[in-house]
Amino acid sequence: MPQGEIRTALAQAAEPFVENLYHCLRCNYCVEMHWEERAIRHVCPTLVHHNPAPGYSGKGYLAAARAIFEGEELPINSLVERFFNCTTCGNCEEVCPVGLKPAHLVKQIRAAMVAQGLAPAPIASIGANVVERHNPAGAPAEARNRWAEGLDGVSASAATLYLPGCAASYDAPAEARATVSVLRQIGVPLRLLPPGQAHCCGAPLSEIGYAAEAENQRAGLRAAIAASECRSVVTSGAECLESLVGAQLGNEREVVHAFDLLERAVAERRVAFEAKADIAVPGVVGLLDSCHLSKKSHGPKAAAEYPRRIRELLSRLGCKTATVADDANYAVCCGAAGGMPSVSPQSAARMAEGKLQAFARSGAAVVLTASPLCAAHLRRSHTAGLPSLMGLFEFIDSHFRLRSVSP
Amino acid sequence: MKTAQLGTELAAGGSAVVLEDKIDLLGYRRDTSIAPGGNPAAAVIARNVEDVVAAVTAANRRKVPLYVRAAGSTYAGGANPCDGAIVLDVSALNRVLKIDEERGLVLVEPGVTYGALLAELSARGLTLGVVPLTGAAGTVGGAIASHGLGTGSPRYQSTADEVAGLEVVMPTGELLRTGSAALAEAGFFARYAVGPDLTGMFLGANGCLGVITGIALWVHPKPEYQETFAVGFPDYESGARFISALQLKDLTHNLWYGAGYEDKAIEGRVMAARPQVDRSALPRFCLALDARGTREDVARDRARIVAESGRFGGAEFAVFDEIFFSRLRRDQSFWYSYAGYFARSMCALLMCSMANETIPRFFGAIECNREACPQFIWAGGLVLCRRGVHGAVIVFYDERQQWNEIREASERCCRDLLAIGCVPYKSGRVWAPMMDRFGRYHTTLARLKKTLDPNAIMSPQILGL
Repeated sequence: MPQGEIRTALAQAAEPFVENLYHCLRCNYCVEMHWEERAIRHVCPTLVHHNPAPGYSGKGYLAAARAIFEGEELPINSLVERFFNCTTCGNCEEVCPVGLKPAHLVKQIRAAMVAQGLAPAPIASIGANVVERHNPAGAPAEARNRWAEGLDGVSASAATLYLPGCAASYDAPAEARATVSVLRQIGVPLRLLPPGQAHCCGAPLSEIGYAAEAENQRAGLRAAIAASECRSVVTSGAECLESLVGAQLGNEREVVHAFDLLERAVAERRVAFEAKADIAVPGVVGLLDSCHLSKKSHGPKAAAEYPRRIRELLSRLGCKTATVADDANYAVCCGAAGGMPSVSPQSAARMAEGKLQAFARSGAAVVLTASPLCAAHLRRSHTAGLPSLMGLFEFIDSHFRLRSVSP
Repeated sequence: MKTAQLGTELAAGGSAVVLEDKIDLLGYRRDTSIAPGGNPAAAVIARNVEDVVAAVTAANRRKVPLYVRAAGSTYAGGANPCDGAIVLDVSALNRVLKIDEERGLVLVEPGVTYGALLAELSARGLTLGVVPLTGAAGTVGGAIASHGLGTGSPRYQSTADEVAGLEVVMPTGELLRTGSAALAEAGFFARYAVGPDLTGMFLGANGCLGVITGIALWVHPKPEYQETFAVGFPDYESGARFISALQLKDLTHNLWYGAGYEDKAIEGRVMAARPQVDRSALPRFCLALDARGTREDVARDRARIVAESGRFGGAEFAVFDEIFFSRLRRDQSFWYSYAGYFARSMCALLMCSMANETIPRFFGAIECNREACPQFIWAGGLVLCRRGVHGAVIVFYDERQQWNEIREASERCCRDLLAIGCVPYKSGRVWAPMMDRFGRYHTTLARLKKTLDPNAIMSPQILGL
């Protein structure tokens, strides 16, 4: 592809963000800031664990896009390398004092790069995997429901459709199984889509620039959901929740995270928890706040304060959540998203290790997360001496017996 | 010489990250100001003093300009390089080296952010006297090198006054320690020692005379109690005379911060929050104060200050404190107010200092500029010091459409301010074209620079040097 055409395409991609490009004051908040009262300690995982150059920061992406928009000639390969080494966590947007959207810009520029055939090989591989096998890892599509084999709580006639998400289905099956178990115990049987219909929701594709393919996946899934006639769709995937909410499944159809159902049952006093006698409940646990469930750049559901609500539930269960070096709204990403584990696996592993080390310093023996994507990534990066890692439902299911009670 | 060799030379300190990719260098072109930026040839992220020395040595050897920066969040252009320069990024030199409670000071590297430093001090019941508006991301080195008077302080005067001594890599690569630390056996404990104050020479110099690599700052016990309040005046003249009385009678002793607001700011804020308030009864000038100390001391001073304001036609202006000022001062919320200036659009911040009697003319100058350039939104404010005040002219503009216009308008405004006796306190590049107004001061500064920096590598053009 001629360089001129590429530059034109990238400039066009930057154009919707033109107000952002000319409104960045270079205050450096998105690069490095510390605000104890707001529990902000560091912002960008890429700058901390991949490369400290400002070209990898929120303000760097805005500056590069402005230069492109103004017709400046920038080295295309370097541009691609920088724009694909963002986790798209959205923390830069969270701290930006004037509300700029660098993470959204990154996704837009990535889409233009992908359209110009510039996707790095690991990214192109994710794209191909999702298109061909409906999951980013390229695992066999027919194996999608293998985690549920022999499991109670799954019923072909259930009114609630469970879409565990690719991460839970393939990489964190224990969380998917535990979710079914917990929801069964509170009286919510789940239905699964047959493997042939259970498309990826498009979330990973949207983050890495395959916008059209993401929409194709969503459309396939939308059709399958409609055919199921289920009124309620529940997922375990934090990133899937964002994608499904945006998938226009119809006003009559509720889309929730599995935690929402559990929390609702607790709020309505429909469930009682009893600690299992054979396993001690840890007094202090760490809670990894998934960016998709906590940062407003990931849509309305992410603004719904999941971390606070999950902490409240854990508190009811007698578990104190450890205070770590950052707080939900400004938590530095663990490196699971945005294609980071594929593009720069070592950097992504450092991000994960950094999170686990922070939890280790906090005294937490076990770290929980409501995102199977984060859980799988952290498990891959786990080394000896760091706290163990569990999905939220896996933790609840293994430590508590739940029973339905009359409100 | 080839670029690759420049990279090798710049990395000779052993730990530096050398950046030569154009995309990374975009981030080093400008600071937050309206001063035009340049295209540097390379940037060096220094991680220790050896890296700094290596960069300075390489720049000297090649006679290439070297500009020092940390967060680059200042607004006078002091960090903006010229084309082909090397940028020395000291933001990774960010350690708190020692909190010395015996001596009442903290020794830090220049890249530590105020936010990080305050967190460490707070854990020991300590704090800083002056914290700049940029503090969440802004660095101590950047603030003092750009003459960061911070928000100014009636009690502590300025950030520069809170500096006990410095470690500086001179333009020729040698290491200098100022104040009592000139004697290695003594270390930092007194700024004024041995002879003339060499510390002051590097404060506000924007790296023109050397690279600050270590800073000793005074620390203070965290006050047990904080309270904010505001007093309003019918005109600027009364407010100015009140400020002089406040300062002369030493009623500023427990005031950690004070800000003056013009009529438009008062009206805008009050009417937005309390539309039922009688607009015509609003004061034209308001001084909002942040008092800290023991509860008894604060209560006593507040009563005396409010009573004193009555002698100048003033009175307590509770609504302003309720709707705005108390929130601004809560939990460092003013850090977002710095950036909040920019929430509407980009803005030019022109910072100056003035004697109290100049205050009415300062607001008059803003009004004149407002009328002359109605295409911009103009605002002005004051920060109270132990003596005199700092003034800020804030001009909102559209960077895409008004880039040349705003620079012309700002320069005109700066000249107007000089004409009424306002002096710049953050000069950088923004005030550089006017440095000849400072006569012998400026020529002496130029001579000093030539002596210390014979190859003229350090931040050329900044401060008009």
